[in-house]
Amino acid sequence: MGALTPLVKVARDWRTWGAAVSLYTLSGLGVTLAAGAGIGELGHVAGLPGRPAFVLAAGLAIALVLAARELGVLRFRLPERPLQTEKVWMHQFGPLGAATLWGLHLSLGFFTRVNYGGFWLLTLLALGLGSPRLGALLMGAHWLGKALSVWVAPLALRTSADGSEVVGVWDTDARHYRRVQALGLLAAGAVLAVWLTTLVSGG
Amino acid sequence: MDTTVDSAGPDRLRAASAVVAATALVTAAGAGAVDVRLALVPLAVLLGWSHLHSV
Repeated sequence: MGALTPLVKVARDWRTWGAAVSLYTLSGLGVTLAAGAGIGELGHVAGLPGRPAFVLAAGLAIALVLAARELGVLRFRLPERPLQTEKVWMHQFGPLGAATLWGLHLSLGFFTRVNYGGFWLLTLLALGLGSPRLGALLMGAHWLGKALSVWVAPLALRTSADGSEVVGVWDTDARHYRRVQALGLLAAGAVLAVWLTTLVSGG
Repeated sequence: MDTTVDSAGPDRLRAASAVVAATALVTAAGAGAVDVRLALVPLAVLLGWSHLHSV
């Protein structure tokens, strides 16, 4: 995002920016749909869908723990590789090539930083529910949410030539975005609780 | 490195964030009324939205 956004505010090149962000979004969407389906298939092969009550109860507990982490009630590190993507790709491949590669690289999530718990909740649900279709939907939707932030980033950027300004906006408002993440986790927990209740009551 | 932040920037992003959150929650409620599993999909978008630090 820090590299894509200046294409608009500095170069005033909306066409290149639009093409780059579209490629970024679509390449990442392809990867996440395939990865989500693969994770769901893995769970299916492992027989996890045969224990839906356990999976839903575990998912609910994980959602609550991760929400508590985002709200600062609990403190622990999430599994992650403390890496960011390669900014040098912009110079090597140009904005369109780099945007495509960034989408491929960042969308998986397993190879870069994971600062928020929602990614892991969705990954574990995709595995535990054992449905390739639902796994693809969950991971693809998560990516679209990530990519959405890149689409709206030009709203906040003023003049910086290296994209650091918009990253700075997000950094100074980190508490707000942690609360949004906690809201999403609590809402997901509520959905899992309703699903579990329906399952247990035989609905 | 220029790290100057337009004072309106955070406000704009917060407003966008509120729209995304409200839309996701309303859509989740609607989807959940049809099929509870589908309620997780708009919430996945919301969880991705606030994940920008990884980007």
